[in-house]
Amino acid sequence: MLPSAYGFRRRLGRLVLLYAVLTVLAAVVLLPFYWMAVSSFRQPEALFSSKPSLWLSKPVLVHYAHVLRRTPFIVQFQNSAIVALFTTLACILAGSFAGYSLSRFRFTGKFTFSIVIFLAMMFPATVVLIPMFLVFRTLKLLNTYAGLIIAYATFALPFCTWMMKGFFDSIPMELEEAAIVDGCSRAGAMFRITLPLAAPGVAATAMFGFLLAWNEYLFALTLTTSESMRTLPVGLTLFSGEYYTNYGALMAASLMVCVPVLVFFLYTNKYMIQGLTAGAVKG
Amino acid sequence: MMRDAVKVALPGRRSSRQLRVLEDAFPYLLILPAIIGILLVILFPIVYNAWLSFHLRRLIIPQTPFVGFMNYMRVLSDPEFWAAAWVTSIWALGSIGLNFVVGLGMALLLNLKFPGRSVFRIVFLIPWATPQIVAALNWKWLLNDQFGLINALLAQAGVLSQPVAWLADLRFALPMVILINVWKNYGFEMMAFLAALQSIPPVLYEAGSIDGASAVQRFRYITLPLLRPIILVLIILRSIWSINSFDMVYVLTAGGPANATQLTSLYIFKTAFERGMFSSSATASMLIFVVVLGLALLFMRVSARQGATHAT
Repeated sequence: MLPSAYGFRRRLGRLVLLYAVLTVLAAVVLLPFYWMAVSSFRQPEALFSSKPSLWLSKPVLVHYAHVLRRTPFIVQFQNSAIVALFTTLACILAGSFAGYSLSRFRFTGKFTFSIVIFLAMMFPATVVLIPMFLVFRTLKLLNTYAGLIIAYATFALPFCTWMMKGFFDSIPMELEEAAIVDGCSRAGAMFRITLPLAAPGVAATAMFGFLLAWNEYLFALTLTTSESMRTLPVGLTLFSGEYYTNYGALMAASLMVCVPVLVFFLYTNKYMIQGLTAGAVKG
Repeated sequence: MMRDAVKVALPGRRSSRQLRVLEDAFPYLLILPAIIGILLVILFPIVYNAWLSFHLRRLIIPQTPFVGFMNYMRVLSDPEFWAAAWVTSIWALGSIGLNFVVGLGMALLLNLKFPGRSVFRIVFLIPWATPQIVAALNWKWLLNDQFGLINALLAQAGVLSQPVAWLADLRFALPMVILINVWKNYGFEMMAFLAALQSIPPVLYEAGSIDGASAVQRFRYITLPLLRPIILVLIILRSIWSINSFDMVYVLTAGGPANATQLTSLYIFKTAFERGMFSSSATASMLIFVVVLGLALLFMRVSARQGATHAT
């Protein structure tokens, strides 16, 4: 078929329509973020109005100042960062080791291990919540970093293992065999050859562990009770008082919680998507 | 899925007896930390939880006598539990259906070829990457009855004559939390459908066009059948995740108004930590656990079957 002027116009028309639809959808999807940003910079008087303006006229930083100076935001940020960091580390180590083991070896009990890991991915958190609370209370792990890190790392592990297994499966075995023939030890082949090649998988695992620990709410709420051990998600919900919520400050704090995650996501989304579709969807 | 790895031959290496043992132990050593963690932090609590459901445990009283099925009788005769189960069913069905429709629609749209496609793909994934709590608080502010943007916009458009308290109104609370949940989560379905759509060979569509199939027919007879495996997986996964979810609804409505949005997960949480009835709570969570376990086993069978047909 020859491209005619008519066909070109029609295609252009379609493209314009498509962009229009996508732009409207994107506006709907992104509206909450826009409003979060606008509210966080808005003057307190203008914030609580029954006819809020969609546009920001005179941005102010009072809400950010309030969050940083008058609330335990910085302590909570620190707590979240520490817990997330160690969770990520544990996920990378234990997850890639276990994933490698499941991907590369045939051994007795492998099937059982796979099933256990697989089922652990699906169980409801509420089933574990009460026993964990009671056990952690006995072990004096309530209100500690260790308690949260142990909980989060273990929750993230089944999925991380699964994801890493998927990545390892896609790396040809021949590379390791060649290294072993050349005199590399079994463990050496894993650490020097395969693990570096699975770097995207490690990135996806790190991101998953980090996000889980950074975002988790239910366990943080249950396993920490003292003000100084709260993490950010719990901290955010404490902005809401019984009669009055300082929404300006809340939106400022939310934005500060959200931005690191989204920046992180923009840089690693390719690996994350690859890992998710390999791990969860192809099974 | 459970495709066995080819056993690595270890040629050309002097192996003493000791080395042999070490090499046999290597796969176990590697998997050990993960397994220990999972056993201690997930499986042990589940067993403990099962034990609790047959004993009476209160927050302050140290004795925990065996009570048989009493806890089960109590939970199963509690109308609040059944109400929560009903709410959870609606929540799960709504979330499954809407996430499916929105996710598939977005995937089809983003599967078209146009400049700037990759940017839009990331933009539409942003809600999915947002922390649950941030999303929930954000929507709570948007839907605020007095100062919220949604009410203001609707009033301006002339749709509303007076403000609506979306999350505190018996009619709107549950549909609203479902919609917010879909806004937060459709990205996963979208991503999975996109990956699946991209693996469909274009030749099939060309053949369809040559044979005179319309766009709708091509979708109906080429795309949909080829998406069937992933559709099944997504439905099962989303139902498990819907039953397990807690954060979003707890922050948005805490189960209110008048328990209209009280999911079983919230019921379990409240029973334990607001009423101190640990045994009843453990019992309710055992009941939910059985449902989830059934779904998880189903998921395993489905994806094992797909692994068998798709592998190599």
